[in-house]
Amino acid sequence: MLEVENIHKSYGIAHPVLSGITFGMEKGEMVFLTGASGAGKSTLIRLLYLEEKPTSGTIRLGPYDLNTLPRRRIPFLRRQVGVVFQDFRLIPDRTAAENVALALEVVGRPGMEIRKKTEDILRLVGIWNKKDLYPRQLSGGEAQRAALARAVVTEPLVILADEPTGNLDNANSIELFDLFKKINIRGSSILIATHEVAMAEEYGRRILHLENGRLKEDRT
Amino acid sequence: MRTLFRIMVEIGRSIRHELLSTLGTLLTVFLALTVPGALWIISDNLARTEREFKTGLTMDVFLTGEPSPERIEEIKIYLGSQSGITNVKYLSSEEALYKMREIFGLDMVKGLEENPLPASFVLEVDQSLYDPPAADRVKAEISKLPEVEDVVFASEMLNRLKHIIRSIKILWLAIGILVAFSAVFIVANTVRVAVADRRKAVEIMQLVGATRNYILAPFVSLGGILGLSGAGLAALFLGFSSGFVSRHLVKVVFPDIYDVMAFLLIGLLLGMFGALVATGKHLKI
Repeated sequence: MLEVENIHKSYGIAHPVLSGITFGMEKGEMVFLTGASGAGKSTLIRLLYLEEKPTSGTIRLGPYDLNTLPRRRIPFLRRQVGVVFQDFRLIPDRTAAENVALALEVVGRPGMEIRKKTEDILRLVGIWNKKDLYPRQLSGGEAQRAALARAVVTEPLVILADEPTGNLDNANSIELFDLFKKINIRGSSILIATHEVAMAEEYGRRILHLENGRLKEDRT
Repeated sequence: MRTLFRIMVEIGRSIRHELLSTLGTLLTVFLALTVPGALWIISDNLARTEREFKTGLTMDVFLTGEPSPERIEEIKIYLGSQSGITNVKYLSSEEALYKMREIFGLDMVKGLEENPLPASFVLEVDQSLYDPPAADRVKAEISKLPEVEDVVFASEMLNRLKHIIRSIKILWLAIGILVAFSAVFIVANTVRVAVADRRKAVEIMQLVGATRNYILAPFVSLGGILGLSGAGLAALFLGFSSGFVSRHLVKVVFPDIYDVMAFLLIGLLLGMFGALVATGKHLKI
């Protein structure tokens, strides 16, 4: 489903961020991408939703070859990739439900379907009762659940999470990881970048460990 | 329908966030479009005046006395043979006085002891005599007749009117181009502020797979609405002003509905173009 081959990324010759990264992900797999700050986790995530292009190497996601994908097709790739960030990235003047519905609106789904799916996903992540609140009225944990709901609601090929627990306390972090697990059981493929190696290990899933831009470990 | 609703909601959000700036832009676009609009109306009315003037334009040949009927016929033939003369009519001094009475009323001629108006020939002319040198040649030719005292032809005035119209048209074009640029700039600036204000929302939309058109539509529509509203306000203002001037000063003909629609369309397109300039430059999509 996801194939990353010999990826290199550098900003100028003297500053390589990723070197020779190769890995694959199967459909329905949940993988942790671990490493210290500056190891290249976020850069790798950005390459996977084409926020940036690799300096060399190839990335294939489902039917998309990211190296040759024309610029105008990028939105269509992104509809197949749900992304969750540390800072939630919710639109401030839209309610939680409207933020989630946005992902369905941009793909032109009918209104009835949007309402139904938004309700289902908000119930799944446990914030249906907060659906009419604006991001500033939500706690960090609730905002991250809304962001996760938005990433999941279109049933993308893969969900990418970049330090999703970075702004959460321990209890909320555990709840969020449990939610990822729940969503993974429903069949979604998930790649979570986190510096919390110990927490990742607790889930007994595959771990890709980055050090200084190199893939040091690929273990289950 | 849903897309239209979404665009309207997004426009509403942008206006709510930048209400004062949006109103300021609307006012500025209105003022900017009023100037070329007014010049358009002036130029249009002068061109109409020129047409009306041309329709009634005649060359008047004033005589020293009343010629005999035979001589009148001879002169008529001679005048009719001149280049650019399409019709010749004799006007006796009696007829001239009668005409004057008709135009200015009985009081005007009541005190006159004798008729001061000379007999004349009224010559209708074609376009070739709108050219002053050609008119001068014919005037000189006619003046050679011994009975002729004076030849009066308003070609100079027509020529001056033509120059004025041409100058106003050039001014209108120049100001129009300047105003078009400034309207585009003003709208672009407002839309740029709206884009900056909505940057986070735009980034998130891009993240969830919104296409370029999906993101641009509300901003371009906002620009179009600002341009259209500014042009609409300018058209209303000019309509009322034309009515006022017509009632109190001089008759002004307001452009017809098609011209007004063209004016509104220009406003709409300028606004949309301004928005495209702003979004193209400030949104990397």
